[in-house]
Amino acid sequence: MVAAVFFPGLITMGLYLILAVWAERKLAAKVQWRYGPLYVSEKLGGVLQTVADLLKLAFSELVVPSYTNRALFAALPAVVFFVEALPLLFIPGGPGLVMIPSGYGLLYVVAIILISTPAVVAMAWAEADKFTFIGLLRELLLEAAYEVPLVLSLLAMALVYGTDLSTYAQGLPGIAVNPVAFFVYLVATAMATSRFPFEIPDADAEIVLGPYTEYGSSLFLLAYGSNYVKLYAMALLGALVFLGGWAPLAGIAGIAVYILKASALTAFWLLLRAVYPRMRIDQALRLGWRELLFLSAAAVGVSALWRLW
Amino acid sequence: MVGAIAFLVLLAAGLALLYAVPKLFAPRAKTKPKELRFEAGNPPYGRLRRRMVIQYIRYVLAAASFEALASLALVAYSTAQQDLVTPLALTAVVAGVMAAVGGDVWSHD
Repeated sequence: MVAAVFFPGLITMGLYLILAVWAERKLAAKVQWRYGPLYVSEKLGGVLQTVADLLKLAFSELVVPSYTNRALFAALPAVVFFVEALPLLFIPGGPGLVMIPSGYGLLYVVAIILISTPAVVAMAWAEADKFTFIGLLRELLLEAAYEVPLVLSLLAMALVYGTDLSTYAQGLPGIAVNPVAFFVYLVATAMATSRFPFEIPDADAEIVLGPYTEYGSSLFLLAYGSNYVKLYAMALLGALVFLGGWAPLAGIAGIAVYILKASALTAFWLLLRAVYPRMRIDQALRLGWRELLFLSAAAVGVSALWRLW
Repeated sequence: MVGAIAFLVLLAAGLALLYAVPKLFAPRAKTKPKELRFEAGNPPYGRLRRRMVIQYIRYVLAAASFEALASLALVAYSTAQQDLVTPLALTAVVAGVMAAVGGDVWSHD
């Protein structure tokens, strides 16, 4: 129950959504010599601005247009949000702190991460707009670029640690065993969560907001927030698989360590917004199927050598 | 399992609340432009869903086939007494074919 409600469950996920959006804006502002959000709660560095934005959106008029399938239009943002949150069922927050303990936890997480893209594509299709259509094509193509390297990088770690996620916090952290797999995971996750320089499906300077264009009010909250839920799940998974999760501590201190590691990974992915220009889809595809794929195959080789040694 | 059910139920309740709040409390001012699809300030025109750009289809095909191989390797490793042969063989197939494809892509750049 603690895992469901507190960590890695709902309360931490909600706080993460608020803080990640604020941190993204603040980090980009720092790099660009701006203040960033400061209008609400100036003394707290504007951290409550996201809460204000959230409330404002939730109390905005809910428009469900008549030109498309209204039921699908309204339901799919919640479906996407729900699917993006499902990996949390299998990711442990500490020793014994997992909602569904399973020897195949890593497999379930990978499968859920990969089926979330069809949900986003369905949502964009139901919106029935030229910009959402271009966005869904880009989303599909981007998944074609990252999914094989992502699976191979996690396969590399499974060769050493197995597929039971609770064993990853024992012994050497994954980054020391296989730094190549860690690098591939970093880049593939940036692609999977549309971080810069792979913010291609929802490139706001080109196609309004891609798959999120038609949504407003709480539907926009759900649709856009789902991306940060995925980032949360990927940050937790990365912190556990590559950085040792809660190790070397246990209990509440271990949870704090785990959150710190996931936050460090998140900060890296968020900072990319401020330091990279956006790639074109063909550049991302080529990167995924050349450098990234070869690196991920090499990562599997490194793990095999580690096992044999 | 109780935790998982609690998580799913609470999450669903939270999502339902996000639907209920604007439905109950937000002002309603239905106008025709709000009902139209977004066209960057223009009236809707032309076909909505065009043909997919075929130039990237090779990547989609490659992903569809090799993702299955990579996932198969992961499943095979976890279910077959953790032997190394299957995942390594499958990864070698992926890497080998992609080396050929990658070389081809490089040669055309």
